[in-house]
Amino acid sequence: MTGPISEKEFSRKAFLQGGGALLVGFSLRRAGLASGASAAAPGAPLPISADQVDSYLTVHADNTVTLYSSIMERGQGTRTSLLMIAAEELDIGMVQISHAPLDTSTTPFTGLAGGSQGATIGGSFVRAAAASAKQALLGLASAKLGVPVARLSVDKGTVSGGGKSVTYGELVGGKVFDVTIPQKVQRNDLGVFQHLLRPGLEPGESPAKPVDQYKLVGKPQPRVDVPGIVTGTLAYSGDVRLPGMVHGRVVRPRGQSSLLHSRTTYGPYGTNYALELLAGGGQAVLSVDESSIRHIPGARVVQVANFVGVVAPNEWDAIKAAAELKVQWAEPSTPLPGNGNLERALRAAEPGLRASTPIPGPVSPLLITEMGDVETGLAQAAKTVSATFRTAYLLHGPTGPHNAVADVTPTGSTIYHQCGPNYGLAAQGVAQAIGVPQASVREISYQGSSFYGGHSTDQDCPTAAAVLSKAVGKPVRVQFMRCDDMGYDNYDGAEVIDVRAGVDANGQITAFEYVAYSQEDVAQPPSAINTGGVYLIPNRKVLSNTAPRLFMTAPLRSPMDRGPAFSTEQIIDELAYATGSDPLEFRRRNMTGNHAWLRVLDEVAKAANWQPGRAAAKLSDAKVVTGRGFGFGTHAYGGGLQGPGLDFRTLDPTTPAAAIADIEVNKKTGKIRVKHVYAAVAPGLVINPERVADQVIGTAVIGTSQALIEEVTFSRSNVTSLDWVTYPSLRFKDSPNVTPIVIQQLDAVPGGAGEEPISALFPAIANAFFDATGVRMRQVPMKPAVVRDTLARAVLKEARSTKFGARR
Amino acid sequence: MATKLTIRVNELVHRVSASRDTPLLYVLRNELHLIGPRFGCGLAQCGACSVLLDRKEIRSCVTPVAAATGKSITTLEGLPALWASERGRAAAAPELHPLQQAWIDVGVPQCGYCQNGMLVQAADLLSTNKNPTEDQIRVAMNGHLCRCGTYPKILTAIKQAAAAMAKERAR
Repeated sequence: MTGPISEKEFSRKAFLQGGGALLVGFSLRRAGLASGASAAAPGAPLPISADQVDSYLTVHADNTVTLYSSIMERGQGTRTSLLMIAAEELDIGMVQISHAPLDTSTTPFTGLAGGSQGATIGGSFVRAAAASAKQALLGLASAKLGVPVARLSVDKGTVSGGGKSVTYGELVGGKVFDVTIPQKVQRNDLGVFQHLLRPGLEPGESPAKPVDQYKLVGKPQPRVDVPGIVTGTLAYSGDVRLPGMVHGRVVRPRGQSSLLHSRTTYGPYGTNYALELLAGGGQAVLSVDESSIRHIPGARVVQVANFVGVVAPNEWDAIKAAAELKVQWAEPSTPLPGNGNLERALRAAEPGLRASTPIPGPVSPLLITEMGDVETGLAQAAKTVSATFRTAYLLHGPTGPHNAVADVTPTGSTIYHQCGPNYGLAAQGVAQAIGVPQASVREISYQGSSFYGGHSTDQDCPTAAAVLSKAVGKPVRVQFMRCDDMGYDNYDGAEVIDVRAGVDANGQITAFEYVAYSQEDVAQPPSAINTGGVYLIPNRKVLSNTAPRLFMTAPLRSPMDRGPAFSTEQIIDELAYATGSDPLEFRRRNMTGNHAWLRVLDEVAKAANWQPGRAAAKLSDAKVVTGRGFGFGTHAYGGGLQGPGLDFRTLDPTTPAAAIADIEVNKKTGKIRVKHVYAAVAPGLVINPERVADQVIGTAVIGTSQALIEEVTFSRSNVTSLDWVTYPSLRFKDSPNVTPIVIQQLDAVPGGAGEEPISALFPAIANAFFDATGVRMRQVPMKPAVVRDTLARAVLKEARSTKFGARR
Repeated sequence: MATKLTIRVNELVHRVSASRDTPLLYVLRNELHLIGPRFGCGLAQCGACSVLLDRKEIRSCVTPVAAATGKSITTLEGLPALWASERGRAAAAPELHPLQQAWIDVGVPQCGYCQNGMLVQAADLLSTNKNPTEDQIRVAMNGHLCRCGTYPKILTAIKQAAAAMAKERAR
């Protein structure tokens, strides 16, 4: 930390004279443009400088604090966690602190709100800023009160000592700190995968407060935004209305077609489909019949290349215009394989095809890990198992499709929407679409319907709004309709996975081989942890092949974890079964001894009252049978990626999860009901335990939905999942009850906690299916037709083997 | 063609200008600036847009505004007053509906987008069934979609609200 607190007021003029290099990111924090933030000194901008306390915190004269971070509240309570971290370090109450709206003109970068890293990396920024501010405030108070810092104490922002006291507000209210935050090398998160010099303190790291003195962190806190949600007073992105604003809608073929020959580059941030259309991609527009909407008052068509949209003063008129506008499109240039031929399409992976990860993307086939020799290990095995597993394309499917208001003017543009994990990225797409420098596009983000994951349509929608706004010269609000959201989402990639494994006579795993085929531009290949990394396996190989690009893809909550865990943890169960072992005892015997993984296994077994024994020991001929299964899973942030400063073989800190599922299978109808899920996570230091429990409950419900019924369907030409009938999602009647287990580790750094149980649950349900039926489930979603077919094939196979055996 | 229509929302009478086929949702949001009801699908599949029409839950995204004239519309914003009127209390500064309070106490919402419909449907349920079983709650709530997975906590909150309402009525 350098420098005393500046008593001078920052002025725009002083700043502008200070250095032009920072101009791109200059702050209008106190211009009062952002609603909610107290205007401490109107008109006095501050530079957003990564190492300055002032970029993150403002102390107001009324002894309240405004926190600035780039972490959007996306329904997981992360903002509340950040407020807790700041309040803890500053020794103020939760009612004394609020978070400023996310606004590219005032918000510093504090990591991405992706990979469930908001509280981990965002938290380290906030902790560093707040701890530095606290030191400075104590120094000021000491001078003011004439009492040494060591004899000062702070309660609710009032510093006391020697019988005197002064508030933070009295010390610095309305003034700037001008204090530098110590920087250190920190791991960056999704998207950049580098280790960078930046502000950050882990819990308890000096000058941050020792963890054993925590009063707020680690104890349940209500989320600050919940009262506004339940009373209808919290404004979401969809509630933004500007004067003179008109309503727009996009007009597209129903469901995306193949993106094999896309015009725009694509990467881990997903595809901005509006840019693709503007570049002449997508299905070519052959004709637009503007007369088809002439009867709608004020309706207007906007066409740029293959981008077509409509605007109208009235929202219902805009909806009708979009529905009634007659557009002829060319057939898609490349056919889709159709769901039935998906496996063949994925297996057409070509060597050399580049997975579109950021810094130099891995080239297919990507060797994730290799040790020993799999063939040798298999030769040593007493029993071997092998199987092929299949997963489906999934969509993000927020309850509310994306919406955005764009106000494009000759002097600068603003977009109002709900940003994705990369705040500022939508502004980049807008700038490209309307041909202006990115610095002239301001992006303001509001809470919205969570889409849980990387990028769905959060770039596409504001870009569309900006194109329309530019064309009509007015602010335009675009609300994506249900079919726009589902049809043009960046999906989570489907996988085909071949696994072989062996176990010796002593019940030790001797070999494990994992070979996956996937359209793997979903930010990361399978992690080394979910593919057997939890176990001691002397001969192990994990290989990932990149398949040709069928659809737009981007990470979906727990990306590239479902297939790996679904396949690996079933194979482990099969090895346990082959050796006559209890699945949990078999795992303990083969595990690496990693404390956290053993801990989640033991805790979930205890909560579920797991009774040791071999699986499928109580098979019955009843129509409805029950079973119980176990699975491990995690999400490895960046695990499995290559890049400067990052060795993909080292395992980044991850949060282990273990799940036990109790299920019911109706063998006649094929319907699986997940009755109860027990799920344990060990995310290190838990900032807000009840909110992490919420995440365990939510991921258990959504994981059940994905494992049982979710699947993007498509024909030979277009995606056909366009609403909640063609893409079903789990509803109340079929929701499991959930027992969340959150393990608090005060001596560890905070880890992610928003996704891990999903991948653990996939194999837990599949292993429960085996326990119930004695038959292995090789594909998700486990829809009734899949279940009936799987059971019928097993009966046929059994009959054949019996016949064959009898003949011998 | 826009016509003048009269609708009664949260006990206030409004004159609005809209074509008769305009779904009620857009009138509530764009003309009356009520933000409780939300657009989710426009197909009556998810329930994000739910409001009470004469105290029964309906999907405002597919209900023409003309069909709501002459009836009483209650949105999320009107639940406190509805609860006050049920108890015969003045609605000057009504306290939260017990469902809203339970939602806060249990910590139900995650992203919160669907919770308007959840609360509105639960209000409908508890007005006809004062002490629903878990199965009855699941059936009543089945038409409402949550993509964050808050169903288990909604079950808890509805039971808690039902208990609080019973206690309040007994006073």
